[in-house]
Order: sequence, then C-alpha cells, then structure tokens
Amino acid sequence: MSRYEIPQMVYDDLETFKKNHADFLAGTLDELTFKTMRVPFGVYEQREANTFMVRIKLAGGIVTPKQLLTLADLAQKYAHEAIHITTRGGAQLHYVKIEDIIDIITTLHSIDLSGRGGGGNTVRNVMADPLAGTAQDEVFDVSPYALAITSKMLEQKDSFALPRKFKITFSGSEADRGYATIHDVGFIAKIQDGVKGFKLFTAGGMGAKSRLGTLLRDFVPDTEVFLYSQAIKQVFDKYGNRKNKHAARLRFLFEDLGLEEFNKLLEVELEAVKAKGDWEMPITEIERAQGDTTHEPFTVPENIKKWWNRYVYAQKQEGLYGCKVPVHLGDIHFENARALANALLPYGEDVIRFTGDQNLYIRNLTAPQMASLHDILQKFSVEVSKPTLFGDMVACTGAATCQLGIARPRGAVDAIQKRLNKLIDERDYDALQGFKIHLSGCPNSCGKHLIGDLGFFGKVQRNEGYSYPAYNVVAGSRTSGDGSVYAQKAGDVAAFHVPAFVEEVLDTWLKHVKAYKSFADWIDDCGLAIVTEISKKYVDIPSFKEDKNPYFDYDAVELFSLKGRGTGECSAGMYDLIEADKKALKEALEKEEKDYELIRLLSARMLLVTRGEDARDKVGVLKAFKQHFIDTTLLNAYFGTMLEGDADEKSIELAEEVIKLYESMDHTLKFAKEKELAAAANAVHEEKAVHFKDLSGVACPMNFVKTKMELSKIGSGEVLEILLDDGAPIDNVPKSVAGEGHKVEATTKEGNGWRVRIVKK
Amino acid sequence: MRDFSDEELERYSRHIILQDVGIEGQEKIANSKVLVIGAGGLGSPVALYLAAAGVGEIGIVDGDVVDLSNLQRQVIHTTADVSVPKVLSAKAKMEAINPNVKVTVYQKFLDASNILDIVKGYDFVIDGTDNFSSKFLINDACVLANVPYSHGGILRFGGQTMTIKPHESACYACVFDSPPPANAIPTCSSAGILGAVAGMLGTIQAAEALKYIVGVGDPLYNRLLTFDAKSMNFRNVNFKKNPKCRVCGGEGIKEIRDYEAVVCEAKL
Repeated sequence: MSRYEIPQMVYDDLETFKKNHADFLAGTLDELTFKTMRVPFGVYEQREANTFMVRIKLAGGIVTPKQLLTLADLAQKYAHEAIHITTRGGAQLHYVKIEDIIDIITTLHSIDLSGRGGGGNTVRNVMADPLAGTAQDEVFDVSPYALAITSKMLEQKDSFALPRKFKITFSGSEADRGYATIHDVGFIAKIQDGVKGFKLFTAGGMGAKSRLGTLLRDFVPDTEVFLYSQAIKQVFDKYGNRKNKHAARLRFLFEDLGLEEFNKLLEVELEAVKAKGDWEMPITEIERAQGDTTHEPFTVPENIKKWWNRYVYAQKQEGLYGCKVPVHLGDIHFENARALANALLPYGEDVIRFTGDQNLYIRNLTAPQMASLHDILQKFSVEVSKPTLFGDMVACTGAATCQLGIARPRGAVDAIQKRLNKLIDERDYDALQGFKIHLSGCPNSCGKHLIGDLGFFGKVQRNEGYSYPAYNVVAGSRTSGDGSVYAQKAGDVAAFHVPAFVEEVLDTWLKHVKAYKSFADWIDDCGLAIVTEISKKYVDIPSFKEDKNPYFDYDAVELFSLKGRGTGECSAGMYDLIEADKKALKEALEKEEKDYELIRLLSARMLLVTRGEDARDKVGVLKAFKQHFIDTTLLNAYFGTMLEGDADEKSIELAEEVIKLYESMDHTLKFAKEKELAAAANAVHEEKAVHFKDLSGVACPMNFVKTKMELSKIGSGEVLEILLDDGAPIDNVPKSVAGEGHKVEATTKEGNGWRVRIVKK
Repeated sequence: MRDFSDEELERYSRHIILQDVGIEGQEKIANSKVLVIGAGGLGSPVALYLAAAGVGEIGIVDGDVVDLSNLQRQVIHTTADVSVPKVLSAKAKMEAINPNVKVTVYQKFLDASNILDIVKGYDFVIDGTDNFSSKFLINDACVLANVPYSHGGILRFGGQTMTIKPHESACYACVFDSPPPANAIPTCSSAGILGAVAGMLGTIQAAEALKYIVGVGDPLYNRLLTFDAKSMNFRNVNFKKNPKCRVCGGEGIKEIRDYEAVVCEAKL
C-alpha cells in the first residue's frame, strides 16, 4: 500500500464543483465565489492572470510508477509539458487552463491523488525522510505514518481553515533527514522498551523569526501519532494569531505561551480528541522486495562509475540500491518522467520518492537494474553528470517574481555553477559529496539558507549613495534532532562577488576536508573566522562611475533598487540600510570638524526607507523627510526649520532626535509616537465597541457610500454593523465592502432586512 | 476624519464608490487648493470639472474679458457673458455647479512681479495659458515655489501635456529649455484651433490634478503626452530630468524674471 486515502467528502464535493465550474465558464458564477470552490481542490491562480496551477499531495513524496505515468500524460496534455516537484516533495502542474481542470482533477482521483489542502491555511503535504524504508541508519520505516496521517488529516474539517499553514514531517533516524526540528510537528523514530514510537518536536520553522522546534515529548508511542498531531493542531486552531499573517505560524503562539502554558492547553485538547474517539491510526506497512538474495557479483561498468559513486547508495536491505536524481529547479519533462516510469513499472510500487529539495530518489532496485537506468537518468538534468555539489544548490525565486525578494538567488546559482564548472577538472569537488549551498532572496527562508552548509540571504548595501544587491553569509548548520543548529552568520558579500567567494571558500575547505568529520565541525573549530575573513574581500565593489555591473543583480535589466518591493516580512533588509546610515551619521558626529550638511542629509535619510522612500539627492531627501516626519508631527515642527537653507550646528540636534526616534521603532516599523497618535485617534471610539448605522430604506449605491463613510470614521479591527434592505442592497453592499478588503463577518436576517457585521481592515 | 453631509455624500458618491478614491480621497480633494491660470479654452473644462469634483479652493487667473470669438471653445462662458471679465463669468458657473467650492478670482495677467506670491498658496497649478512666455514663467514660479503643475498646450488639431513635480520629475525647461524665437512659430490667430481639442486636453489636465491630489495612479511625470485629433493617435514621449537644466538643475534659477512676450492674438 503506497497510497493515502481520499475521503468520500472530496468525491462528493467534486460533483458540486463540476456544476460550479460550468457556471463559471458560462459567466453565471463570479470569480471570487469560484475561487473559494477551486482552492480546496488544489487549484491556484498563477501570477499570470487566468493561468492556473494544480498542486498535488504526495505524502512522504511517495509516487508510484503508474501515478508518475499518468502525471506525465497530464503534463504533456495540459501543463506545458513539465511536472514540477515542490519544496514539500509534492507535485505541481503549471500553466493549466481553467477549462481543463475538471479533467485533471478527475484523472488525479482515478490514481488516488488529491490536491486538497495543498495551499492556504491548511495541513500541508506531509513529508518524510526521503530515504525512509531504505536507510542504513533508520530505526524503522516512517513512510506508512506519513501516508496514514495524510488520510486522517484529510478527513478532518478543521484541517482546512487554520490560522496559517501547518506542516508535519517524519524522520527515520537522528540524522533527521525529514527536518523534524523545522516543522510545526516533527517526529523522529525511536524504539523504547520494544515499542515503536517517536520523539516529538513542535513549533519549529524557518521564515522570518525562525525557530528550532522544541522537544515536546521524548517518546510518543506510534499509536498516538494522530492523537498528538490533532491535539497540537487544535491548540493552534483555537489560539493562533489569525489577525497578523506574519505572526500566525505555530511558533509565534508557542513563543507567546511558553512550554508550560502550551502543555496545559495541549492536555485539554488531548482529552478532547480522545473523547471524540477514532484517534488511533491504522498503519499498513509498505510491501517491498526482500532484497537480492542471488548474491550474483556485480561490477559497476567503468563508464558509469563516477555517477554511481556520486549518486547511488546501498540500502539497508542487502543487495538493494537507491539513487538520488538531481532535477534542475524541480522540473521534470514529461518524456523523461514517462521513460523512467515505464522502466520502473516492473519493480513494484515503492520505487520513487520526490523530495523537499526538489529532486527525486529511486529505490529498491538491484545493482544491475539500477545500472540499466543510467542512460534514462542522464536526461533529467546536466547536474546528473556532475558532482553532487551542483545538484544540491537550492535557491528561491527571489526578486525576479517574489514581492518580498531583495536579491535574485536563482541568477546567483547559475553564476556560481558557471564559475565552478570551469574548475571541475582541476578541483576534487567529489570530495565535497553532500555539501549544500542554499540561497534565499531575503531573510525569509524559502531558499532554506539556515540549513545549508554555506547559506546566503539577500540584503541591501550602499556605496556612495547607490544601492547594490548583497548577501548575508551563514555557515555550518547541523540537522540532527536535539543537536540541530541553524547556520550562523559569517559575513556579508556583494551579490556580484558571490561566485568568487564560493570558489575561495570551497578551495579553503578542500584543504581541510580530510581532517574534519563535517563542514560544521570545521566551522565550529576555526572555519567560521576563516570564512568571515574571506568574506571581507568580497563585500566592497567599485564605485558606480568605475563599473556599473555590480549594481545590477543577476538576470536583472534594471539597476538594483528596492522600489516595487512589498514591505511584508522583509523589513529586515531595511534595517541594513538604516544601520549603514546610522553608522555614517555617528562617525560624522564624532569628527572634530563637523560637516553639518552631511549630518543633516544622513539624519533626514536614515529613516526614509521605513516609509518606502528611495530618494538619494539632497532636495528629494529633505522634501520626503519633511513630508513623512515633520508634517505627520512625528517630529516637532521646530526640526522642520532646520531643513531650509544651509545646514548649521542645529543639525546635531536633528541627528540626536532621529536616532531617538529610531530607537523607539518596533519590528512593524512603527514608532512609539505613531502608536500614541493612533491610540489617541482610536480612544474616541472606545466607549462603543460596535458601531452601528441603519441603512434600511437607503438605495444602491448610496447605502455603500454611507457604509464607506462610517468605516472611514472607525479604526482598523473595529466592528461596524449596518442594516440593509433585502434585494439589491444585500446582494451588492457586502460584496463591495469585502472587495475593498474589509471582512464581512456575519449576515443575519433581521425583520424584512439584513444585519451585516463588518470588521474594518 | 471629516464628516461629509448627506448632500455631499450623494453629490460625490460616484467618487467615493471608487476604491482608489473613497472617503479618504474625497476628503483630500475637499482639502485641496488648485490654481487655474487662464480662463480660456483649457481653463474652462478644468475649472468646471474641478469645481464639480469638490476641490475645496480654486483660484482662477485671467485679465481678459469674454469675446464672441472665445465661445467656440471656452465653454464656461455664455453668449450673455460677452464683455464680462472672464474670471467673474467663470466663478458664477463654478458656484452654480457646486456651492461647496470656494472660488478666488485674480483679474489680472501674471508676470514676474506677482506670480510667485499667488502660486505659493496652492497645492497644484494648471497652466491654461496660450503663449510661451507665460508657460516658461509659470514653470519658473512653480519650480521656485516647489508647487507641482500641469503643463498644457494646443494648436490646430493637436495638443500636448505633461505633469511636473519640481525637483523630482523633468520640468518644462528640461524638455524645451527656453521660448522659441518670435518669428519661428505661427501665430495662433492664423493657425486656429478645433474647439473640442481644447476640451480634450483640459479634461486630461483636470484628471491629472485630481490624480495628484488623491495620490492615485501614475501622473504624466517625465513624459509628454501628445495627440493629433485628426488621426486620433495618442503617444507618450519619455524624458528625463536634465541635471543641468537652466531652471531646476544643479544651480537652477534663483529669481523670477519675465520672458519676452510672444502673445498670440486669438486667445485659446
């Protein structure tokens, strides 16, 4: 059994969905309503309007050859010819047309796959150690648990409307290849007194404010895996922060509560789940070949030896082999998928695993069977014929497509590969088997920089007033349950110099590789200081006049700039800019001969980024400063007088005031004064928690206009209740209000009309 | 937050319904002050639309009286207004459209001696003049006083306009430097103008002013919009701010002086 079970509810919903889909195509169902229908089936709109992707759950990354064959057919027919492996080891079909989605979903159901809960605030694809069931070091095979809990979670209604996403994983050993410590719920296999079970970690995660999971239970019997997962989920569901998307993940709740309080709430939910019953999770072991007992000696042919040594590994079952297949950016062409699936069909169901690093593994083959795949696999990517270093590089999309991105790590990866490729014959990169280079475009860890051997995350640097793309360097992570450590800060480098920097770090590490057990060991011993020292050579760039190239990011046609970037969680990149100005300002203040003009300029410029201003020249800076800090009364009007004419010694007062203001800024970029002003504005409304307006008898569109007027008078998060007439008013006003981003919480019949409860955005 | 009366809510409802305007945007409009220079072909539609939109204070400048030949395009004036000062005729129509608007009249022509004082008090300026010396004078004054403005010009079947945010976007002088020599351009009286073209360009200027006030969309910064009503082709010509611009560049201008007048006879 290599499949999870799709609950009946999903099939029932499909019938309704078919009807809605037809209505939508006929134009009788609006887009917003249709969206709420399609998302539960894993159908999401891409950046490009009217282009969709279908996300498919593959529990533990498990996909059978038959399923892969069908995915290949779907990719060829509907999805620009590619199957995409996601960062949770699931699959995606991109560039799908809306007309085709019913065919696709029906076909997926026929091969026991579903997209339910693929995205949004749901229980996401459950992951497992990609080597589960084959690894020499594993305690037992965790794959059946990933399948079973997927089936159980799909049955629970509360799995699909959580405060934020919820991620579960399983590792078979302390090597923690399932990354238990960076998940909301992470299990690491353990046997205690002859009973199968798990160490249970919770509230881990990367992203902004990353956190390593806390060991919640040293041993949970395997029968209680669902019990605990469901109870933790219920704590999250009840108490998680639904208001602030950026502080919504379980780790934020856990930090707020603390371990003790969290445990108290958990006990209550554990009892609740038990009382409800049906919490024991049936486990069906995965059938697999018993290994090659013929013991026929096999000699690896000379022409594939390099590949064999790099990618093929011996399983715990004697005579069976597994193999890693690097897949460039996670995209598999349907022809390659089909060729591989056909070749694997005779060898059972459990022969392929997709992985969270967007590659795949082949498993449970004898040596001759594995060797016979060599030619097929060569077509998967150029990395297949290179040392693992190349295929193991991970990068998020970065500023190329992501609103939060600062730098463009995919371009950087290409540049690193290009540079290292030139050295491939001179350097023994095979000695660095397993070395991971991970890049993220911003402090959010979509590129998993915190768990790389060498990690990078995007930042901004300034040189003579011009911004340029750069990276923070981190190094030496470990993933092993209790012993997990995120990579630590090792320096900064200009994006332009990343390839040269990587080359030098690798050259240095190659000299020491034999003396240490791991890169992390070297970093801890003396490597960190060495890497930091190397980074110093690569942080500065020539002036803009001398060479403009370092001021462009990879694959970018425009000069590097933060313009067009959303604020969101990436505010950390701003702090770099502010700190740079603050440092320069402090230096200017300490000088004997004070340059008042410079002090004034730096003071005015320092905090402008927090208001989304990118002005460089003096006039622009002073003007923007006046607009954002004087006119808003954040600073006394007295400081406004210093902006006119030539700067004088009063600029020092301005500098001190700006630094004080900065110190009062919180992580949402709000100043203490700002909060006071907002509080004062809100205080007026506090006496009446719920605002009310009777709009019965008011026709469209004046009822909407008056609703907007009332909303403009109240603060964000406050509630307005309105009365509306039946007919056109109730049909239109709530929709229009929701269309402007407010939340329509409840609509209840009252007399001949309706009472509508609105929470202001 | 200002409390709009029911009358105002209804009057401005079609603005308020717009998500990009809303109550907040309408309030900005109500709190804004716009100066319209010239109550002729361009000034007529601009003044009418800005008054209708509820701009809190509108100043209107013109030293002329209404002439019969104006009525072919200067739609704010009527046959009964012939010989009445243009600013008074315009004020009456604006107040008739919207009594909530405060209209200030300047019955004079602007020159180096008075322009800066008048321009200073406004958030946005509309150039609705018909001659180069006035256009350059307005540019100088707006750059010096740091007031954004909309440039507009029309001739025969064509029009051009750009919006200028001093020190941030290219100014009129960044693009054209200085007035052409007196004999290089056809006089307006001999060239003529299709009346409706004045309406086309004026409404674009009014829309630019409202966009600026509300803070929505992309103003015509660093680009000149030109059109030819005969072919009905519109195009954008992109410009950059000239760092060495005589008016807004490095040193820039320090004081206002008059340009040699090349006034055409027929008022646009």
